[in-house]
Amino acid sequence: MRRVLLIATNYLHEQRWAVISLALYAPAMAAMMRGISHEPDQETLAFFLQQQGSFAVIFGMLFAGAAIYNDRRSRRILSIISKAVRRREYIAGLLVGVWCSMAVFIASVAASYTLAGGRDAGRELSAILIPSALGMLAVAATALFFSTFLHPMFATVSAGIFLGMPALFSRVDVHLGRAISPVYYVLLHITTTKSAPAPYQLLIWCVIHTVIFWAAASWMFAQRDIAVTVD
Amino acid sequence: MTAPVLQFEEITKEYRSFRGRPVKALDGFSLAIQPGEIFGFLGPNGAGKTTAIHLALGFMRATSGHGTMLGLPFGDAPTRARVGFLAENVALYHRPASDVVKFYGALNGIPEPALAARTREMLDLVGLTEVAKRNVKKFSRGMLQRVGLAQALVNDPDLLILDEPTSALDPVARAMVREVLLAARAAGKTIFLSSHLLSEVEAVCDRVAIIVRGRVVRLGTTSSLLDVGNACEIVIRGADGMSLPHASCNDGARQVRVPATDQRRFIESVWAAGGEVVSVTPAKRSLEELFLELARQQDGEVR
Repeated sequence: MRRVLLIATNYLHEQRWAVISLALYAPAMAAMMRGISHEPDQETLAFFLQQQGSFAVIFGMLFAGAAIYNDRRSRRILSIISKAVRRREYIAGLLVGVWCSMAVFIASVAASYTLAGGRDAGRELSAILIPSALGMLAVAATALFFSTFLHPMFATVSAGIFLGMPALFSRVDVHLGRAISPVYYVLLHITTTKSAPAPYQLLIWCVIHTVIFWAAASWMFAQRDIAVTVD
Repeated sequence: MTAPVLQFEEITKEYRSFRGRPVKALDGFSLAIQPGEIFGFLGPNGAGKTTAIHLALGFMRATSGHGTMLGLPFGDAPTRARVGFLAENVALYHRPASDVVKFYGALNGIPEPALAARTREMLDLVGLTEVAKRNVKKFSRGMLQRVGLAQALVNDPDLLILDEPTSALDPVARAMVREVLLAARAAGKTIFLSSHLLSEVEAVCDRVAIIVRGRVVRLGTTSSLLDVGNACEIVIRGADGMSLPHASCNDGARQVRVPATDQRRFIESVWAAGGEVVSVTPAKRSLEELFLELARQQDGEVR
């Protein structure tokens, strides 16, 4: 566990400027809303929350899709894998790191929403940001899995297509759809609800999806040659 | 006989080229490194040295064959806690040098506060105490290589794998690395040293393997590889009348290699020609000469 946390902290440190930018972006948007209208209406604020909750999921996919590639390109991955680090610990470290990065953003969104004057903040925040945080974890695990064997751009696109599959089969059974891609239903929930909590089954599916894709990514990554010889 | 610290057994590693053509980086490669030795690993570019190291550390899998490191199969993560590795092109995270060394030590499971003390000790060993708080992104390549060495040593490894550890170092730092390696050997550690600096290898290594196109073509103790048999090097001055077509000249003196059986006759002929014998030493070739000889052979085979 210590190695996972070390790799996660390291990832967070490496992405600090991107994370800081995202953390500042949410309050900047909130400040702009207050600047335009001294007391922004609740509809606008709810839309802000829904929008940022969806962004967290999408940013999570983008961050995770590039995580392994960045370490490989800089060859820093060799200095980590040459230590007593298992491939699954490395993947778990990146996953936790991506989640922490997005958790900072989600916390910033929550603070911005509250400061901007969102009413009934606790209920609305939990209705949107909890599924957002779990959906982001699931999408990050999926993008990490694809990035073990694909270029980050293709990995991100593949993860997006995979997670959007229920949309392609609109008549799919909702329970089956949740099992295949809970993230699709998380996004659907985030963008349509205002204060209703997400079904707990959906949140559990997000966790299961994360574990399955983390295990698959670890297995796939363990089969791969990490370094291309330089000589 | 003790078990080898590092063993490659009939390992083949095949890549696919862009067009799908198989390219063998290692071809039935076998080698055993014994405990407590400094082992020199040489070969021209593309010979497969880095591939062999990466296989040992579990970065990649062999196409066929197998190997062990510290008694366990390649790729075993807990075993790597007892191994120190310095890569050819040191790539470290951009942090203060002390944080970098601590980070890699922590990944190997060293607990605090031992880690902090060990980090200070290692940075002191490589001469970076004064810049321990400076971010490594501001370091020169030589300084990076020294931080790399510190992180490789921080876990007090039983096996140290070094890929070109002195390529960017100045002569003073090279001497420091040499001392570190000799001290590690004295402490019973095993060192696997891949380098193109043949004089360094010659100075510190107990045994040497030369690898060409994925196969070991020479293996033995450094002295046995450099021995050229029953001959001596004679340096003479004067005797200008003597024709010595194979002599090398240096500062007015000429150096000739003659069979030991002809030594007496040759010296007498120098004296007879009015010359002076400066020195007589047993003949040895340098590692560089051996390396070049093998490289030329390889070129000849390729053509």
